[in-house]
Amino acid sequence: MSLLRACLQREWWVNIRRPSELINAWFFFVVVVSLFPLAIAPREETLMSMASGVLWVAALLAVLLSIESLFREDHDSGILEQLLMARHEMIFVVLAKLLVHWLLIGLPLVLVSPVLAYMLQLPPKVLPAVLYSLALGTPSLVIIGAIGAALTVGLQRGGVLLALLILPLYVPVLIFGAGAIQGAMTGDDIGGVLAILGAILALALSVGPWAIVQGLKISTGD
Amino acid sequence: MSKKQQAQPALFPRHFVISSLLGLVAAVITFYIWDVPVANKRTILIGAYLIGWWFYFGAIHRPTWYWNTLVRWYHQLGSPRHFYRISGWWLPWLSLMALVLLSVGVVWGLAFSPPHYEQGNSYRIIYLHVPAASGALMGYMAMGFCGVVALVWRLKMAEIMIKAIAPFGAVLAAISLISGAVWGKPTWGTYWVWDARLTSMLILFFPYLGTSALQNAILDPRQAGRAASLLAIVGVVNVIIVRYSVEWWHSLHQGGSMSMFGAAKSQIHPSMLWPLLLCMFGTYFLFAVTVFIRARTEILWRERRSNWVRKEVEGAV
Repeated sequence: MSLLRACLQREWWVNIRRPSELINAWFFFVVVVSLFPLAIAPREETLMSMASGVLWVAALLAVLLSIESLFREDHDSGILEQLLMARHEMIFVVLAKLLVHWLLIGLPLVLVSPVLAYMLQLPPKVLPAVLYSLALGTPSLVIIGAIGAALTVGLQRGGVLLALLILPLYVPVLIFGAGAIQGAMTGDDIGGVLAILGAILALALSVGPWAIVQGLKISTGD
Repeated sequence: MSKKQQAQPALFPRHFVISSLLGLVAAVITFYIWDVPVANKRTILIGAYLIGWWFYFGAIHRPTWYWNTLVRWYHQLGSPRHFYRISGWWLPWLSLMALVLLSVGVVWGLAFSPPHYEQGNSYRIIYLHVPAASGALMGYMAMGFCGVVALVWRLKMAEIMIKAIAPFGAVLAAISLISGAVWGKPTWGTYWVWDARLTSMLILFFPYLGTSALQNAILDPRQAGRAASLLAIVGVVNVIIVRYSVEWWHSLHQGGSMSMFGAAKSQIHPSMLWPLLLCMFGTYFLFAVTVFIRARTEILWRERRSNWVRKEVEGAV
């Protein structure tokens, strides 16, 4: 546990002291969402019908862009190899990284999403659904994205490749996340869809860290 | 009774359990992932059942032989050099099977089987579409299986197989998407709908490309192979989830407007089913031939500094 706490502290301070990357990701989300009403006529019904998709795709891309740097700094400075060679459980290091990354990138997106949803003319009764679906979905996005980031960390131009690897894996989260908002708009009970999002998160949380550690081992050549 | 014989009976239950578990997994995958007609599923199940019994009796009556054969196969197919040798024997026969099955199936299907009562002759693209689609799905499952083998037992051959499977699987997925679009225009009136099956095929197409791209991006072949194995495993889990999520998403939104397939295919008439089956198995053999040729080329390249390859190549020249 002291290991987990130490990793959490390290990740937290490393990220907090370099706020430009965090701010980039948050603004990316806000800017992408606000571009859509400019590109499409800002009529209320048009915006309403596409709001769920816009919010989710923007959140997905924001996570994807930020996840690329999750292991890169540690890999380039050689810390990653030291961590892998050390005697402790690498899985705690990975869990700490994922948790801090979600707290600093995912959670702000979740918190700002009701405002953006309101700007996209979603009725106020839908806003909790936006909040819940993103809160349950973004951790899965971070974990799944980290698998791809671990596999591409040693590569020169990993960014485009990362998108190709990871975006197909994001499909289920995207479908159910946007589906929850759509369901709330038609007045359905979204408990079932949220439960599926939670199940995906449980699966990602139980299998993902193992896959990430394996990917890191592969990328650093064991 | 020698000591050796006494030790043997303990061998078979374990392997029986393992093989029946594998069979169960295969059956579940067959039923839920692989969209084949029901009659076809039954054939596959009976085949799997018979093979299971063959293993079972083999394990009872000749446990040593059974075990030794397994071990020998494992070692021989796992070693690139022996794989090269064995696949060299198999290739002509596999090619012959592919040629015969595909030519008989295609000629029978395109020229002799009766036209569809609603779709006329346009349905005949099924003899291209369904084999390509099922081949793409099967290739994906094979890739996931090879991924597990490569990561758990670190077999070099499994990594080579993944590299060999990915391009042809992507081609098959592309063929099934394009032929499906061409078929959809006269039948449904549109080239593309966001139907559950079409969408999951499209999502299947991307990881094939991703696996190839990752393989090519990493320079060290062993590292590339292991990275692709991990991706293949994750991809198989993902394909299963995508399959269900797309179905539920579809049912959430539109209701089953495209149900004609599930019902109509299971009642497909034998005069159409047989050429279809021939085409499907011909495609599998073609897949095997392509994968073997690619794998053999890859083996020669990877082992280019070893003596046996030098001899092989000099002998050929």
